[in-house]
Amino acid sequence: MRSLDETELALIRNEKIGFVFQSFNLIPRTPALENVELPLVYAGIRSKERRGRALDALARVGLSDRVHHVPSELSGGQQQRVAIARALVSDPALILADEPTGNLDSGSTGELMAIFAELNAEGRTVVVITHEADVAKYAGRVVRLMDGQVVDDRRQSPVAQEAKTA
Amino acid sequence: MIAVESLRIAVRGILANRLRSLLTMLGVMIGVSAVIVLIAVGNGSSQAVRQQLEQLGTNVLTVFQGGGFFRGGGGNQNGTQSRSSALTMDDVEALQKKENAPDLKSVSPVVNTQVTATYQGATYSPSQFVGTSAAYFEANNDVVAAGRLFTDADYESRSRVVVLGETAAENLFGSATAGVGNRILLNGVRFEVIGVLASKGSTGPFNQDDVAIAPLTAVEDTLTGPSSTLSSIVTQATSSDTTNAAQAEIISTLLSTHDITNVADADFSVFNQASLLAASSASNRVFTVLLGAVAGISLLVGGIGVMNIMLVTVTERTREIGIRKAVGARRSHIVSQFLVEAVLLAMIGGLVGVVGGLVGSRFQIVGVEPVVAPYSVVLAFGVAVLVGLFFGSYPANRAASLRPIEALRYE
Repeated sequence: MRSLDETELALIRNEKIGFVFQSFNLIPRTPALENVELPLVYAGIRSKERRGRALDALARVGLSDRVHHVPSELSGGQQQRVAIARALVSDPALILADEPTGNLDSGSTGELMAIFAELNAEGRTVVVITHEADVAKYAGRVVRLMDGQVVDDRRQSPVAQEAKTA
Repeated sequence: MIAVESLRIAVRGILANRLRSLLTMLGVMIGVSAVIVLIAVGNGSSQAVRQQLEQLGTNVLTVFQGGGFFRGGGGNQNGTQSRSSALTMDDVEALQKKENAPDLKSVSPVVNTQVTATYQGATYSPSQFVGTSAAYFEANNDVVAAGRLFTDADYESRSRVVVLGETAAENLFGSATAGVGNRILLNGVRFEVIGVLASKGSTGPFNQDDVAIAPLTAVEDTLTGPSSTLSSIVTQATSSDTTNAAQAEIISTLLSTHDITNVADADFSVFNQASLLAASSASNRVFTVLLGAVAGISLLVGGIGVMNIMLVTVTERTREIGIRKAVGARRSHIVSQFLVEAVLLAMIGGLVGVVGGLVGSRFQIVGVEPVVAPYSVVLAFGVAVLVGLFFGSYPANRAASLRPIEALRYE
C-alpha cells in the first residue's frame, strides 16, 4: 500500500473499498441519488448506467422512496443508509465502517447492522469499529483493541438472523 | 471525469451561495465593462478629433504672418519684428510659380475683414468675411448647397458677387436658400448673392457656417483698398503625401521673397494640418492606453476577488473535498471542479460586463460619443476568462492537495 501513488490510492478507494463514517459525510444540498452516484462518476461510468446502479443500491438499503431528498431532509438513520448505499454501489470487496452507529438511536442501529450482516452473508468483508457491545454481537469475529494493543481476538456466532427478524 | 459532470458540480457550487457568487461576478463585471467603455471613450474622442481635422483637409497648408507659430519660425521675434514684412500678393504669385513650388496644387490669398451686410432692412455682420480666390473653396472643403460658387472668371473680372455660409444666409433672408440671386449691401456696396454653402457645423466655439466669401479683387476694389496686405495664404498640396515637401517649398520660396537667409528668422509661419493630425492622434492613443490601463487594473482587482472567494469556498468545503476523495476522486477531478467553478464565475461576470459595457457605450460620456472598439470586447472578455483561470488555479490546487483523512476530520 505504501508504494502506491496518489492516483493509485484514489483508484483503490474508488473500486475496492467502501467507507461508512460515524458522521455520515454525505455531500450537503445534493440529493441522495447523486450522493450514491458519486463513486461511479469518478469511476467514469456513463450517466444512464450510473443512475440504474445507484437506484439499485438505494433499494437495497430500503430508501427507494427517498432518492430525491437532500441529506438535511433525511433522518440520521436514513442518511447513514444512503452512506451505505454509496459504499456498496461500486461493488467493493471491503466495507470499512468507522463507528457507523455512533450517532444513531438503537432502532436505527438494528436496521443498519442488519444491512451489514446481509452484505457480509453475500461474501463481502465488513469491518466495523465500535465501542458498543450491542453492535459487536452482530460480528463473526471480534478483535478488542486497548491503547493500540490487541487484547482479545475471538470468533463467535453472529446474531444477524435474529436482528433481521426483529 | 466527464466535463459535463464538472460543470454540473460547479453550477451547483455557484448556486449554493448566490449572493456571494453575484458579488464576486460583480467585480469581474465592473472590470470588463470599464475596459470596454473607457476604450470606447478614448476611441470616440480620437475619432471625433480626426473627423474635425479631416474636414479641414489634411493636405492644406496655411501661411500666416509672423514667426514662431507652429512651424517654420524660430524664436527670434524681437530682433526681426521691425523688418517683418506682411504677406502680399507677391508672395502668392511666387508660390503660384510651378518652378518654385511643384508640389502645390493651388494657392489662394486670403483677406479677412469685418463687414456689415444689409438686405431690405435686415442687418447682419458675419463673424468671418473672406476675400479670396476660387481655389479657396476646394482647399476649405466648401460645397455649395444652392446657387454656385464664384469662379476664376469672376475673380479676374472683379465681379461683385458673394457666397454666404448657411448661418449668414439665414440671418439675412430668413432661410438658407432663399437669398440666391438677391442683391445685398456690404458696408454700403452692392454685391450679388450667387450661392449658399452647405452646412459644416462648428468646431468648438467657432461656427464655420457664419461666413461670407467674395472674390479678393472685388473686396480690394470696394472694401479694403488695393494695397491691402493678406491675412493668410491658403495652399493645397497635390496630395496628403506631398504635404511635407510642399511645406519645405513654401518656406524656401517665402524666405527668398522676404530676403531672409536663416530659417530661424522667418517672419511667417506655415500651419500644417497633417502634422497637427498626427500629433493629436498620437496624444489620443496615449489617452486611450491610459484609460485602458486603469480599467485593466479594475479587472485585475475583480480577479483577486474571484481568488478570495474561491479560497473561502475551498476552506468551507474541505469536508466535501474529503468525502469526494474518500469515494475515489482523483487530484485532477478536484482541480477541475474548482477551476471550472472559478472560470464560470469569471465568464458569467465577463459576459454581463460585455453587455454592460456595450450598453454603457451608447451614452455620451463627458461630451464624447464613445465608439466601441471590437478588439476591446474580445480583449476584456478573454482577460476575464484568463483571470478566472489564473486566480482559480491556486485555490483549486490547494483543494486538490488536501489529504482525505485530514479533510474529513475538518470541522
